[in-house]
Amino acid sequence: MQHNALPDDDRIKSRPIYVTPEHPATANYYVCVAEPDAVNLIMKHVAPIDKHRTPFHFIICADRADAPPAGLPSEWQNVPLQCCDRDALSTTLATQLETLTQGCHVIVAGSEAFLWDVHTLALAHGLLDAEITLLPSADNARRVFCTHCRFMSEPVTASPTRCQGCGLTLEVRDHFSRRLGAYMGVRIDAEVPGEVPREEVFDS
Amino acid sequence: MSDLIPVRVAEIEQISSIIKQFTFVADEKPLPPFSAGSHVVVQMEGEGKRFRNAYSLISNPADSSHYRIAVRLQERSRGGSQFMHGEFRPGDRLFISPPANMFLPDWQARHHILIAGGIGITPFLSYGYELEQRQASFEVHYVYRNAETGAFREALTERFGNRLYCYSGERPDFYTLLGHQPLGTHVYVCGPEAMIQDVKATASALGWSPQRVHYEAFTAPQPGKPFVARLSRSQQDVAVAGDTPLLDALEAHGLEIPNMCRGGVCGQCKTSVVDGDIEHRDAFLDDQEKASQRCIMPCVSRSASDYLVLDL
Repeated sequence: MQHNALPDDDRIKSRPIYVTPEHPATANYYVCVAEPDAVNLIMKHVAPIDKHRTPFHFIICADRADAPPAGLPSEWQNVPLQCCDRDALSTTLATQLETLTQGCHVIVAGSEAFLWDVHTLALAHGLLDAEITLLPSADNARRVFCTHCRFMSEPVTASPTRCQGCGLTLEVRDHFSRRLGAYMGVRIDAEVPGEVPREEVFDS
Repeated sequence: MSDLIPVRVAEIEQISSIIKQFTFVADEKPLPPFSAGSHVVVQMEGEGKRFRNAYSLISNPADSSHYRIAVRLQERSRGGSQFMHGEFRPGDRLFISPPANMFLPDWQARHHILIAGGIGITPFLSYGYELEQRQASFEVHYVYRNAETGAFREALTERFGNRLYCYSGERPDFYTLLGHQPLGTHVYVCGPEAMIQDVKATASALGWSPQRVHYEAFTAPQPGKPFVARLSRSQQDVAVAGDTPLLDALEAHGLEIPNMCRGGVCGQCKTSVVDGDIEHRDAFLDDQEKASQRCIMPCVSRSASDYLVLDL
């Protein structure tokens, strides 16, 4: 997948660009991993693939273990589906990938932080960036890494934000860590404590 | 090529009727270390003609006390392999280029599949040493026409045991071969162009990304029709005979053009073209660059027109 900015683009280079590919990638097996709200994004993307010819496996990952059970549309009833929560995602995905051969492709949909969590797990199992499709997120919420206490706050929808770990007021920078799936948060009032600019809601 | 290395032929071994193995040592300075998949360019001073051919190093990369190469006698060649087979004797001195590597193993791979066609086994001989030293998971598929071209099979059986698969006079079914490999596998091919294309197409159809398919696309320069290279800066004409590569003709004229592989892969010898129709034969320039007709890889590519005006 191409997530990088073009050389003449003046936005911050570390910030990924998400594009839905025109056609789904060729593969001998598709592993689709989605948050419950984003299942429909995957359905739309994989619609052109003949699911009777290429096997699919779905993993729907909810935030919490007590989330309401998720499902697939009725025409997908025969496709293997696993539901898990965030704590179990790593094991669930690993167990699935270990059974597969070279040529499988992972398609991910959900919040931006979720996309990169799955991306990191897939890389650890030997996949290449090109073998993972990250579908653009439906919202602008961010995961923010506090550079002071290392706590990750999410979802964050505006900057500055209060770190959910140490309580400092953080400016949310556009610098993005793909490994952490997070934007960098730096204390905004270090020079003059309490002097905090007006909040700006992320619009992209 | 000002940094050529003087070497001495220490040993010549006839591996089969058409493959000879040469061992080079250096008497002055120690030979530079090299990595698996490296090649050197051997310079041969023929009568009135200088040959420069690239050969993979087949010896152990952990031991640079000597370099070893294997040369298959090519009947329809420009004469380099015939010179190697016919002229060199133990004790002879010659010049080689420092090792360069256009065919490195990807050390992130979880499993390596090496596919060799005939003399294409050579880079994998050095791979074998390093893969074993790193205790990497690998398998070798050695495809050859007959015992003469598959001359390394016995030595390899001893070295690789059940990790070696031999195919005499037949092609493996690449679809089956690549269809059941663990995640994180990389495949490497060295052999005839048709075999490389087959493996690439099969891998792609199975959903392997192109970064997992590595190939040594070295092509010995093929002859073509004669033409004249016009040097626009010095206003001189260089006649290029049908069996001489443009790069060799320019070097014989006294020009020094950076180069490494002499096989259309490394990109070092890229030269600007002012006018003329280029017949591109390299694997380095992309389609857009080729279509622009503004640059040429003189090691393998030639002119389709009678004149080719170079920015030299």
